[in-house]
Amino acid sequence: MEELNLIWMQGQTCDGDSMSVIDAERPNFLTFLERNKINLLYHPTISPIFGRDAQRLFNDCMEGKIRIDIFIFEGSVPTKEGYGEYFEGQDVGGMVRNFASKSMLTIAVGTCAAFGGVPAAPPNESGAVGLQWHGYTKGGFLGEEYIAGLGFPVINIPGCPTHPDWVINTLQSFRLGRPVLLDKFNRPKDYFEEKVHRGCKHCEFHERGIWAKNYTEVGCFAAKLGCKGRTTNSDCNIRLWNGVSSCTRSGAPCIGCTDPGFPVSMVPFDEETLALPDDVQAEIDARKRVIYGGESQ
Amino acid sequence: MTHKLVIDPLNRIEGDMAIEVNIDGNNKVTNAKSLGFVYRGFENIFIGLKPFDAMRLSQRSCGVCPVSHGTAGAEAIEQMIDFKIPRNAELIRDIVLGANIIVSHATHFYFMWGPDLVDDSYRHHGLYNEVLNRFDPLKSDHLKSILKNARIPLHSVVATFGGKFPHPMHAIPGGVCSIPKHIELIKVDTMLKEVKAFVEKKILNGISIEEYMEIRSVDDVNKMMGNPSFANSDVGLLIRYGQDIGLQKYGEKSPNNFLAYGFGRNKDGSKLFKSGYLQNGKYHALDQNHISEDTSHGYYESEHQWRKPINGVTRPHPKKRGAYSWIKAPRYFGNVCELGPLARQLVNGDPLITDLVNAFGVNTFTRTIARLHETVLIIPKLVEWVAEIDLNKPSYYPFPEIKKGSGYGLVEAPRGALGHWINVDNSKCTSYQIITPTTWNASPLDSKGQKGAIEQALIGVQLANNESMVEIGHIVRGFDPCISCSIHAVGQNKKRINLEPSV
Repeated sequence: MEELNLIWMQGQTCDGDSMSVIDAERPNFLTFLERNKINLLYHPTISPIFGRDAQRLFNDCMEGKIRIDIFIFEGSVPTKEGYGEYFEGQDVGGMVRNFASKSMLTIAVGTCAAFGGVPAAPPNESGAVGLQWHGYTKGGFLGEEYIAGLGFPVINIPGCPTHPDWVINTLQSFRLGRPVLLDKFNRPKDYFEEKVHRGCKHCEFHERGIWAKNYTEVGCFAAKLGCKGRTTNSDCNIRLWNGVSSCTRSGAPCIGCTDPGFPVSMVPFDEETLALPDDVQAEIDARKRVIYGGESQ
Repeated sequence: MTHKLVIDPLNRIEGDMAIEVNIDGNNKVTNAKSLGFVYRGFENIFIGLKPFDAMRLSQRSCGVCPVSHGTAGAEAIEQMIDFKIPRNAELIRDIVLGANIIVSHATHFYFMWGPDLVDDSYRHHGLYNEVLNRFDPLKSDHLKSILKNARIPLHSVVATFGGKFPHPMHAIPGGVCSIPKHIELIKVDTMLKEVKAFVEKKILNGISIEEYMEIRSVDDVNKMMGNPSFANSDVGLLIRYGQDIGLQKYGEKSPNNFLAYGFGRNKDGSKLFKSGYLQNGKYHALDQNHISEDTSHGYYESEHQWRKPINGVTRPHPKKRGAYSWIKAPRYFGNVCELGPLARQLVNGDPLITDLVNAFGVNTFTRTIARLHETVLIIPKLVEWVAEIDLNKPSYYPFPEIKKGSGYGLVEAPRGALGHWINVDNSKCTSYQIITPTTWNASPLDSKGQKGAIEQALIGVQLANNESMVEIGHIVRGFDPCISCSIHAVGQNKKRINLEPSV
């Protein structure tokens, strides 16, 4: 197996996605890298090298002296002048553009990198955008047309934070040559095809129309506490987090953190904010056309 | 002739930071500036949101210490109406925060601060191979075992109550929304006891936490060092190797004012680690009214006043003359303070740490020992708190909508005291100000000419040569900086020169 170089860089971030990914369990993150012969060139939180040694590495990467196979980016990209200085003579944008132009695979980890996330919420003083998306709109920092070396656009693995399995298993799929199918927001379908609602332990109450009117009450959180689980794509309740739980399982209504509209379209968190998902509505309409011959009822 | 040495990026911290120091002909640091980047404008994003939404998002300031941010936000909203949460909620908030403090300390010690111990410049030291065996970054089996046996199970504890880590969701105004069942509490208890056993076996090398807690003075430590198990434990190794490579000489300068907001609510209303302000060794009760922020050397619009955080504003001014940092300068009674585990334990009057500081002073060595020490202190407390949760009692009281009010939430984050200050009008936030521990520690010069704690700690340090970075790594990382949430904006005027001769 040929060794692959992975470089992990950050823009406007809280480090939460890194903190999440190093919680990977089977195997742990370090063992995963070893087994898959992935050479972690640099990671801002755990790499031993720093200062001028790190700058030398970045320069070597930018000049093409060191190959970048996988470029993982965490955090949004500030686009307003004066808000993006990063390393010597480089701003975040320049670094992203350079690394993205050389990588075989570019992965946006976390909602900020994928869609802009919290920093892109109004007033967005720094002009924050995601790598290839800004909310529900394609484009973002690298533009609609961007394609990495292997032929994929930026692969979005959102979440606030992202789930370690989503990141590690996506890398694993590529390593094993398995297909990685993307949804309309370029998220791997493997993890973002299902809704948070699926597998939620409160589904039974939803079916019976028993709504929790306040926190810690028995019932589904959707009607009165604004749970976004029915409209948010993520397999949280099938996969579980940290091996044991999920937001809704622990008692917290979903706030829709894997959605491109997070957080702007999700507030107020404690009220319902999203209509029936487009794809569900489309399916209803299509079926109606079959039954009623195009006259919607 | 003096040189300017810029260390950029100074990584293995949370966020983006650079350090700029001036060094004289003898390679001694004569001046220091701490610089940080990447503005996200969080505080201004929260203006106009409902306090509940702002609280949920304010947690996203930091992925390393999200528990403290979430808790501070909820407590700030509760403080507006002096709302008393149920005991179960106090317990669950403290268990989750305690678990986060342990994990954050362990991650910091082994993954962020520790790698400097195996810097190439120490390779001839007799203990180097032993230290490398445990701290070799990204490689040592010891680190993998810490991930597996401490970090991951403790995050499962957090997730049981908060759904996930990072950004657990349990703390809400009125208490916690967690709905654990008995079986989950039993699982949590088991996981905590396993972590305790792991720490005793692999970190303390066979010394039980009960035995460890008998160590209450430097004399006790010296006696314990006679026990080969303890001497070869990670703590024992740090004591032997750390003193040998001179960690006690790094970061000796401290403002000698220590601030802590307190952590861990005991049943009788007292705290596990108490709050307070220690000025030159004298204890004062905490009063948040004495906190104010200066922005004279920050990239903010100039003001002729120091603002209390409840009246605080964040108005970036990237081209301000004379500014060099994007961190504001908070002061207590107008004084610079040091925050963090060492400050927490000194304020708390912990006998070992107080004795240690009397013997060795404040430096990167004692800061690190204090961090490890309190990690051990918290573990048995968590087991106790879990046992106290009573599932027949509420963990949340319905919380009213707040139309108008102002409040503050003060908690301990792993790296020191954290406060959120919120004003609400018409049911929306009209201001949201966060002062993180790193804002204090990494603060720049204020209008009274006082430097921040990290800058002070760097001055006077002897470097091995005029390009040596490891000493600065020891010192700055010794404060466990968390830059993302401390910085309100990004620098653009910063000089980008690696090693520049200057006046």
